[in-house]
Amino acid sequence: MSISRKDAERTAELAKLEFDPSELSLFVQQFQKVLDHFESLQEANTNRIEPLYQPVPQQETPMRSDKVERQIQQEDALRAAPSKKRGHFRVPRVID
Amino acid sequence: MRNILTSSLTQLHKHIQNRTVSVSEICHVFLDRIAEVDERVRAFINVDSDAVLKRATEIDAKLQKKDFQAGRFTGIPIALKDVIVTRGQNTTCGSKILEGYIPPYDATVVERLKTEGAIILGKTNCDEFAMGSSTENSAFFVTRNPWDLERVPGGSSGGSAACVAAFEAPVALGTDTGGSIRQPAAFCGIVGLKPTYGRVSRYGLVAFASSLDQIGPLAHSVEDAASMLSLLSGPDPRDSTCLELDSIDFTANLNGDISDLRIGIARDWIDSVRDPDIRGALEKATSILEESGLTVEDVEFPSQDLSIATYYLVATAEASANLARYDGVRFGHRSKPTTNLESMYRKTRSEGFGPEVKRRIMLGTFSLSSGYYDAYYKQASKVRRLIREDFITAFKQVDVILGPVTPTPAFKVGEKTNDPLEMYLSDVFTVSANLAGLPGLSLPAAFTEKGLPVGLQLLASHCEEEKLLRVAHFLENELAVGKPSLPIE
Repeated sequence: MSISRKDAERTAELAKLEFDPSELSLFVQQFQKVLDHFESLQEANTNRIEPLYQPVPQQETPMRSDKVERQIQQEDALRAAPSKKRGHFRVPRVID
Repeated sequence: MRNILTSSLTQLHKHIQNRTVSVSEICHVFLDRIAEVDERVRAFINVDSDAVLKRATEIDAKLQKKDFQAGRFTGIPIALKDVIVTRGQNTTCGSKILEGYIPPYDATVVERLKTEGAIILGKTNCDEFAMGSSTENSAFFVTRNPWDLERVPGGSSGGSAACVAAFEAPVALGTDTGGSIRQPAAFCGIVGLKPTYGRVSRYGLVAFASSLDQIGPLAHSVEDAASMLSLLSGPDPRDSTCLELDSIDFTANLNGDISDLRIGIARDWIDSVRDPDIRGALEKATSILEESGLTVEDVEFPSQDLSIATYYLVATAEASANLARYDGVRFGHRSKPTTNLESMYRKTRSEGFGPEVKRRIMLGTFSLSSGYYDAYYKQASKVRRLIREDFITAFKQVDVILGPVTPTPAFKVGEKTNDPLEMYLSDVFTVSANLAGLPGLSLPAAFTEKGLPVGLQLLASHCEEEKLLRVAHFLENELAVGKPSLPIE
C-alpha cells in the first residue's frame, strides 16, 4: 500500500500533531518504507483466527468490592497542572 | 571499597545484616562511583545524593538497635528507569513533555522497594517513552556503553543497563515492551529478566504498550535477578492484568537439578545470525547443555518472519492511545500562548514529543484509523495469536528455549539513527516473547575480540520463571564468563 501526503496529513490531524512541510516529506518517505516491510502480514492466512489482545490467559478479570479505598488528594492531583484556578484545571476557551 | 562496588546483593545484604559496613558507607561508594564515571557514561537523568544519604542515615539508625532484623533489601541502593513513577521525585520518561513532572504517587514496585527498605539511588536515562533500541531517542542526552563509549548501551532501558555494567548501581529496574531489558543487558554484559506478562504490577509504569509492557531487573547475576523478581512479583488490585499468583522465593531452587528439563534450540534464529561471536557463544552453550546429558532438540517458529511487523503495529497502536493523555491539561509541558483548546493540544504535543515518538503515534493512529484498521491492526492482532501458538506448540516439546538476543553486539552511536526500519529490525529476536507474554532472560555468554559483551537468550512458558532461572544459573556457572576488569576506570 502506498501512503500519500494527504494520508499523512489526515493521520496527523487525528493524532493532534503538527509537522512542517519538510518534516512531513521525510515522514512520508520513512512511513512508506516501514509499511512496505509490513506488507508481508497481508499474506498470512488468518481465516478463522481470532485476534489476540491479551497474551496471558486469565480466568476472569479480577473484581473488587465497589468502595472507595484510596485516592489522590485534589491538591496533589492539581500540583503538576500547567494552569489551575479554584481547584480546577484551567484551559483556553473552548466555546467562542 | 572496590569490593563493595562488585558485591552481589547477597554479599551487600550480609554486610548490612552483620553491621560490617554501614548503609551510608555503601551509598557513598556508589555515589562516588557515579561522580567518577557518569560524566562519561551518562546513565542517570537524576541522582538526589542528599535524599539517598538521608535515607541511608535513617536506616543506619534503625540498625543501631540490636534486635532490628535487616531484610534482604534493607539499605540496598537501586536505580530505576525513568518511566517508573516515584512520589515527589522527577519522572520524565526521557521526554521534554514531562520535564519537571513530579508524580503524586509511587508505582507499586517502588512501594514494594521502599517497604523493604531499599534506597532509590536515581532515575536512569531511556529512549523517550521507552521507544527505541539504543537510548539515542532520549530527549536529554545519549547514554554510552561502558565497554566502549563510542557505542550504544542498547535500549530502551539503556541507562539502567549501563549503570549496572559500570558498577554505578548494584542493580536496576528496567521495562521490556519488545526487548528493552534483554537487549541492553546483552549489549552491556549483564543479566536482564523480562517476567511473564502480568507477573509484575504495571501500576505506576508510564504506559507505552499496555499488553506488552513488563517491569524487570537488570543485574550482575542470575541470583540477583531472581532475588529482585521475588520482591517485585505478586498480585496488585490496582492492575487488573496482574496475575493472581503469589510471589515465591525465586532464589530457592537456583542450584536445583536440571536433568529433567528439555531444552529447545531456536535453530532458525541462530542460523540467521551472521555475527561469528554470537553464533560461537550459542554453539558453546548448546554443547554444554548436550554434554550435560540434557535432552536438546531444535524447535521451529513458522510465524517468526512476521514478528517485527506484528510487533510494531500492535505496539504503536497501543502507544497512540496511551500517549493521548499528553495534552497539556493536567501535567507536563503546555505550549504558550495558545488561542484555543484544539491548537493547545496540537502545539503542546508537537513541541513536547521527539521524532521517534511522533513517528510511532502516527503509525499507530494510521493503523487504527477507518479504512486501515482491518488490514493493519486487526490483521496484526490475528498474527499475534499465530506467533503465540508457535510457542505453545514448542513448549509442549521443551521446557526452556535457547536462542540469540540480538543479531549483532552493540552498534556505534549514530549508526542506525537515520533509518527507523533498520533500528526496528534489530529487535527481531526479542519482540516475540512480548507478543506471546513469555518470560525471557538475557545472559552474558562471551566477549568479542574487541571486548564487547555477547548475550544469549532463554525463554520459558508462561509463569515458568523458576525453570528459566534454574537453566540460566546452570549456564552462568558453566560458561563462567569472567569480566576482564571494571569496564570503565
